[in-house]
Amino acid sequence: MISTPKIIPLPAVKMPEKEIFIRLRTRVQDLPESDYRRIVEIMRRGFGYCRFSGCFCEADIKVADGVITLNDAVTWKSEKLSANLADCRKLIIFGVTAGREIVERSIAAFDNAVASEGAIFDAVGSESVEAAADALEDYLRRQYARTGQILVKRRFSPGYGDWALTAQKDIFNILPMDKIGVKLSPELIMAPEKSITAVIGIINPGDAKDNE
Amino acid sequence: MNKSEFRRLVEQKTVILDGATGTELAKRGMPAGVCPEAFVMEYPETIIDIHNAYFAAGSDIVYIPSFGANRLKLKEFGLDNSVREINCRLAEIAKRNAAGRGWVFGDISPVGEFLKPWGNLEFEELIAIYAEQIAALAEGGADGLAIETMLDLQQTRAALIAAKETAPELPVITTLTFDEHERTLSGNDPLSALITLQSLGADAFGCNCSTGPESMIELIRKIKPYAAVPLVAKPNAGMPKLINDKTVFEMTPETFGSFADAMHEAGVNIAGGCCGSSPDHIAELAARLKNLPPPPVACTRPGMVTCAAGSVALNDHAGLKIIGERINPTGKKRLQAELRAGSLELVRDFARQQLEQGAKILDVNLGLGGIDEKEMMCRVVDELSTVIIAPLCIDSTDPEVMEAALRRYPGRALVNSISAEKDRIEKLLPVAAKYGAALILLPVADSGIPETLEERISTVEYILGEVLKYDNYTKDDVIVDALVMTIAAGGTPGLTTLGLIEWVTNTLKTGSVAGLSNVSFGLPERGMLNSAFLAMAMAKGLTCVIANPASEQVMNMAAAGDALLGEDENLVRYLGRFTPQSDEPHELATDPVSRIMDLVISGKKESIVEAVEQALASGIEPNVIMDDALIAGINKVGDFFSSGKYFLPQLLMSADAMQLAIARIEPLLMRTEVTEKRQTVVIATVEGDIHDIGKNIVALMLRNYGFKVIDLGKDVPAAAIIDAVKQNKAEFCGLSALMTTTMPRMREVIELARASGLTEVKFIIGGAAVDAHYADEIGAEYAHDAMDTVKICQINVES
Repeated sequence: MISTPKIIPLPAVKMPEKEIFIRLRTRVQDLPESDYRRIVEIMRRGFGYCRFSGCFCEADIKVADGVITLNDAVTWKSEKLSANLADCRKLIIFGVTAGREIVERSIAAFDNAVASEGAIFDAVGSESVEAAADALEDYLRRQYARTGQILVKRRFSPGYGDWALTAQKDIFNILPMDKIGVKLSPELIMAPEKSITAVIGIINPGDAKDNE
Repeated sequence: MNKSEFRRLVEQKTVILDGATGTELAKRGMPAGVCPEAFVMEYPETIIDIHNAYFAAGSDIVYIPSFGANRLKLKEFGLDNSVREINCRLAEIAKRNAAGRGWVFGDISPVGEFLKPWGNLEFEELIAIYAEQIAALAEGGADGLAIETMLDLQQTRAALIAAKETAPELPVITTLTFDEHERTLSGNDPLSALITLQSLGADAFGCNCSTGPESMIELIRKIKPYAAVPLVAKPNAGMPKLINDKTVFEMTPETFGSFADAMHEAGVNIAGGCCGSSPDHIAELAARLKNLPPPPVACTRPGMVTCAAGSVALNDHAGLKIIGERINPTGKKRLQAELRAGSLELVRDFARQQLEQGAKILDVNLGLGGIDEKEMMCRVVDELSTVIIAPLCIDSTDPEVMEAALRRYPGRALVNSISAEKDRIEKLLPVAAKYGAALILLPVADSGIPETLEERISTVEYILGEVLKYDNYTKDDVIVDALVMTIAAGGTPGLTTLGLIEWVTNTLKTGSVAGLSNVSFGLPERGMLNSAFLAMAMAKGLTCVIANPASEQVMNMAAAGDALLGEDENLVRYLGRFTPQSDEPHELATDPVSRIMDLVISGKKESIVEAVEQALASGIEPNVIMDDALIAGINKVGDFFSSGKYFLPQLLMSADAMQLAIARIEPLLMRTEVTEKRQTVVIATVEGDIHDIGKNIVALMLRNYGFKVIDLGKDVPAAAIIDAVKQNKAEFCGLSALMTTTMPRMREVIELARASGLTEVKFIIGGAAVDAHYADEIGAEYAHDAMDTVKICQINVES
């Protein structure tokens, strides 16, 4: 069974300043204070252009012989994902996006010959959408904990390890990614590009025990 | 139980709630994935057993198992037409079982969908969904309501409004879920949520679920000084872990109970447990809390206004609060035209600008002929609530506009204003009181503006008397408009205003506000008068000012005034405003060429064009500027980048500055030999790939190093790339791809080039998906970054 997908806003995502600097390959401690301030000011402006939202649903899975079968219909071949989901009979499929504006502003900055802004906005979008995925994952962990269900430690995205990027098509068939403004190209590229899809397994023996 | 009885109960003892219901139902056989409400209807003995265990453990209040019994949640199980039946029945089961041992509160939770603009739900639709559930719970005998595990302040407001309108006598506990950063999923902070909900009429506020007891206690401790209602802590027993294939909440009842002293000391009035907590946990907690005296319920009540994720105190003496006045169409033709056209772009800009300039609250006045003020006010409230973090001051005399705005505003707004005029007292004040808004009291009566200070004081006293007839108001919920009049009209209106501020500060002991610019109306050098008057008013105790924060003079005076009055601890704001930055630009070279080079190196694009103009005006040849200033500068930047002294943002800031300079001198170079010799690079992101940031940076750096760059953009077919190479007789072709699915297109381009006879063109590839090995394989060179591309091209040119 695949549950009805839900759309969720994620306005509380924090700007991941440290990660953005890492993406820009910039060691903060070696920056002059004035350059640091200029860069952070651009980052903050860029972060203001991000509009985070996500969607998710739950699906039954079977895992055997390196193959994950979803709802008795879709199959994904991946040894690594199979190992990750070994103890799961269900998983959550989710997608998040930082929205169009951050991408458009980055392009516009390059068009207007302000490449520094363009590159910083791009890094802000990339790292912030990761932060949004972390936020949604954290929310899901808490919600499932309410009924004693635990999620596996690590989420997995199409294209990671030996999980083929073609799984992106299945995810787009299942999740209403269009409702959060994300489309998939024939080359499996998401637009706006600052978007992420992932799955995370639910370890659910269905027999919650409190301190027993 | 009614609200007064609830309050009395909390004043007498620390009230004990129940613990987890979901995990307890699972223990009693509820399978995962079923509708818990339907399960309990079918097996009522499960909840009876759980409630009995909690009452035996010491719970005073247990929650009716109606957590997901709203129309939207029940719809997932096809039960959306049974809202009344389910809630009523669950309440009856719980009530009958309680049999006087304690109270049963209806459990209200998030509906699982989100309000616009994040989701599809309309605010009024959500209120109706909650009202339907609350009516049924009340009908079934619920003693009160617990709006819990809320993730969004605005949804909580909707539930609380529904409770107020549907079951006004029932006490309402509101608890939100905060993460380790003390934010809800929607970004609300605990203080803003507390102020908003206690003003709106919640009978208790706190948090549930969230984290374990330790961090929840810390959160309660922080907000206690601001609480006018009892505070609630209902923490998890830690987070679940999987041990021996069993889901286990690791915190033992003893450990859970050991937090009782800390809860009491932090000021928790109502305590219970959430996920993973069992009757044993509650028993431990209750046993320890019953020996402790109840903590105080209400602390000093500060006059605060909030938005969804921030709050501002109106009457503290911790610095003057600027209320930005610019969102007001009076005298602003552009804003008028935009509003009439239905555009909010300028409203957004004004809001952002004022906050950047130092405003803490934004006044919103949309009184303008030709627009529907109510509709526009709702749109502006919705819009600003999503794009800025600052409380709003709703400025309207129309009670309908005010009600519409206050109802949907996701915080506690400031109302501008309540005067002694009959209409405002009879129509506007009740609306403000219903939503618990903070108030500006304006000493104006139906007979006009009182002349003397004594008359103004007596008018303020009259209005305050009317305000205090509402139970939810104290004098701390108001600030007094000191009624600033222009001194151009003669007399001493300035002194009357200052006298009123002094009276408000010393006698009434609350905050005051002044519409600053009125004082100078009709006079020259208004900034001078405004700032002088501001200094005098601050000395009398003025706490807020309605002003344009774009005025440097006013903002400087406010910063200086705060510093002089001791309202700027350690002079942090004063020094931040006036201290020059220590590492601000080093002394720039004075000779024009070196100065331009310095500006490239430091990436200061703001002044580079001016420097180039000065160099040209002094007779320096464009090619000298190009070679000795720009190229020399960017070479140095390139060296810094290569040696790790500079990082990508600095490299690009320098490149941006250089581009501006090149744009100025390039037309002058066109006729020279230099440009004729330039090598051409065609560059593109291959077909199917839309990632072009890296490619754009490469193009920029190549241009800066004197290459002619034909940038074809992204998602470019192989044939188009080859055509461009031919047409431009390019020496180099740069290809970019980020995805493993698009990198094979690079090979296609190169194969097509070779098939077309383009054997001399040098192909350079880059992007996250490719490496040197792949480049070798397809007959290209690999560049790992923009500077590497420049070097490859330069080496090939030299050879």
